[in-house]
Amino acid sequence: MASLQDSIREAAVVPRRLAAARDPMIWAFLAALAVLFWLPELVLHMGWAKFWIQFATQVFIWSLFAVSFNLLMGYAGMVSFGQAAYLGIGGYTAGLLLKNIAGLSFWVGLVAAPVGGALAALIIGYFCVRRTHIYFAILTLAFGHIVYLIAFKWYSFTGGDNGLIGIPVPDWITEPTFANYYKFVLVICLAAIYLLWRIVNSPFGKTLTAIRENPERADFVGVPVDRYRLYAFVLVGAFSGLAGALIMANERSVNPDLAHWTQSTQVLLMTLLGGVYTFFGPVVGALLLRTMDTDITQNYPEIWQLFLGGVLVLILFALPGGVMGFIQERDVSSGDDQATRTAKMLRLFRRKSWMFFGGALFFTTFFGLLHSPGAWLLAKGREFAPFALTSWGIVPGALLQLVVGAAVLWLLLRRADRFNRIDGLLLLALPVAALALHVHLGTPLSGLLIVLLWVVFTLYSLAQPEFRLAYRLGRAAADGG
Amino acid sequence: MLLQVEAVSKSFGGFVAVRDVNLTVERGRTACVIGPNGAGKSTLFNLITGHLRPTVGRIYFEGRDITGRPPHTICQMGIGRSFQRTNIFPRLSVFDNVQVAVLAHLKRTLNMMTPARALVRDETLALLEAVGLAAEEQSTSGTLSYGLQKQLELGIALASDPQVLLLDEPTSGMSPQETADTIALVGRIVRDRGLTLLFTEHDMDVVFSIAERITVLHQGAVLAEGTPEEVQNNEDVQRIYLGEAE
Repeated sequence: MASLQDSIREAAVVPRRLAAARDPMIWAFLAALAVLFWLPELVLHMGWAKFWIQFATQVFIWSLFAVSFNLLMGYAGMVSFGQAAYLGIGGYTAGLLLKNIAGLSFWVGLVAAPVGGALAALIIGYFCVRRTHIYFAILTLAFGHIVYLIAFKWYSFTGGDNGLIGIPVPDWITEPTFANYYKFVLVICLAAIYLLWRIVNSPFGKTLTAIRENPERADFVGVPVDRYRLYAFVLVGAFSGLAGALIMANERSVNPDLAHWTQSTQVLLMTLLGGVYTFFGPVVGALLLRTMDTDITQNYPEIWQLFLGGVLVLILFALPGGVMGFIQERDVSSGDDQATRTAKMLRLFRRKSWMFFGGALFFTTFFGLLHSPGAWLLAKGREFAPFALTSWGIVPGALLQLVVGAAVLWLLLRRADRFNRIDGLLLLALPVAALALHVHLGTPLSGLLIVLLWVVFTLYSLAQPEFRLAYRLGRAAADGG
Repeated sequence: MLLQVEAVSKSFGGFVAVRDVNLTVERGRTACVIGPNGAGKSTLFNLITGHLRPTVGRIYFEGRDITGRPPHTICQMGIGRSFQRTNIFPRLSVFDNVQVAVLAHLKRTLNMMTPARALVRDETLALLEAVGLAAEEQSTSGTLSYGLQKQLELGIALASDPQVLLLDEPTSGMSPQETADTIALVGRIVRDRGLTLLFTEHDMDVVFSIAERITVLHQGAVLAEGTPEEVQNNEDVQRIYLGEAE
């Protein structure tokens, strides 16, 4: 096998820089950084509430936490119920160091957090990875609760249920517009998520998926399975610790609640909602859950839990792959020829579009119901005026959306195989109507989320090779006939 | 002597699955273990590959004692195997299935930064070519037909560049045509790579067509051992094993 050995050596000497340049995803991350970096300026310039900056910051931190969690759950197949422990340990590591060692650089605390998270994960993981499936999950839950109780009860060390307060952080973080803190979090989270992207696409990441798929076989291709599971656990502990330190930096305090098991379920939910077998699913999940949390907890705190449960049941039944799994779902079997693939792609795109439309309609109606309960036919306190849409009640409003939206969508989808630019733009612009309604209902975040998901969905679908081919063929046919 | 099983027994509770078995496989030979269901063939394989630890006895590979070593170490030492039930990574692509095995063999699985898709591409494709799966490179392996999955498993086993290949019932559940194809494929690979082959099989035509040495297990113990002719002419074997089929 001389040729094998030769090509190994060849592959081994490819310079690292070249290998990095071969990964086009770096450009997407840099583009995201370039755009998102100016969000605070936009918000301040437009005179919008500072809340938006804080909201975005929260989404970034939770995205980092959820994406790293998904490395365990989605890629390595290890469902941890106690991941918040490492969030807490990260926060406490940084907090305790900064509070107890006067004059310690903030950056040392920040670096110490992932180290602390990793060390804790190493010790706890050593015991947990020896078990799989539900036993692993329960062990992580138990250890997570031990961590929480230590933080909660050990007053002399952690401050107990008062938490650690008054942790010194640099002035630039506490600057009142949150813009600096936002940028600081943005850069760190994007860098960390990019690092995770590299990890899941590396040989190590591939090996984790092999272990998830079939540990017995992975073992007998020469992979020490338990050790690799431990590596993954420690790695994710480090990223979770980093996320914990970022949360600490904002609040200048750490509270035992950071390590509470409810936080572990939050990150689990984000991953499930967003899509467990996709890399960016957890980011979508974080955005989704924070949005629902904000729109519903703020306006209707009493039904938040009920709503969350309902959505979860819906998603698990209707979209078992989460939102990103739904968007990326493909129906291809190896025997298909080009025509079959294209036809399947179009059919799938149409079906997904209708499901999306149904979901958006459901949410606007739902929020309408919350906004003015009982206003079935007529908006509260308004005279009916056929041309003033704001005077319409929930039922006619929903019917109008249904009829108009369905008609437009049907017209567009009918010619989905021969889109021109205008059709594409119209398709992209469809959810603007939903956005306007949500703004009217006082839940603009949900509206924005619908727009965002729709844009991701359409662009992703239209970029598929089958779709491009269908489009070319369709255009040719249209031109010919 | 490439592989040597020395007076190995394995009991589960009170049940003795393998009883005082001696087995030697010489380098470059094709050896077969036959025996009725429950004779202890799979248990013997699991003992050799470290999935089970012998109750007594030692196992040597290239003169080194491998008794009780973990499977991944034994695999890295140069023993490849397939399992009786198809054992692949079902939700990974065919390419990824073999690529992971190649990466593991080259001890490159701890690399966390280089994009994997560009690594060991040629080696992986060569292996897929060798097992006749080059056209299915991008398919999800779990959607392949049973026969193709078996071929893929062979590719995975070959990826660790083994000296000896252990195949547990390579043709079980196959149609006569698939069986013939598989045996031809295995024969070609073994010849091309100069491999030592140890396999279990229930199809006697297959056994007598390619095995050079045959070991007959019965109720966990070795009943007979020798060349195909010797085994065929052995009275005990005729009475207890081959006779049952008549």
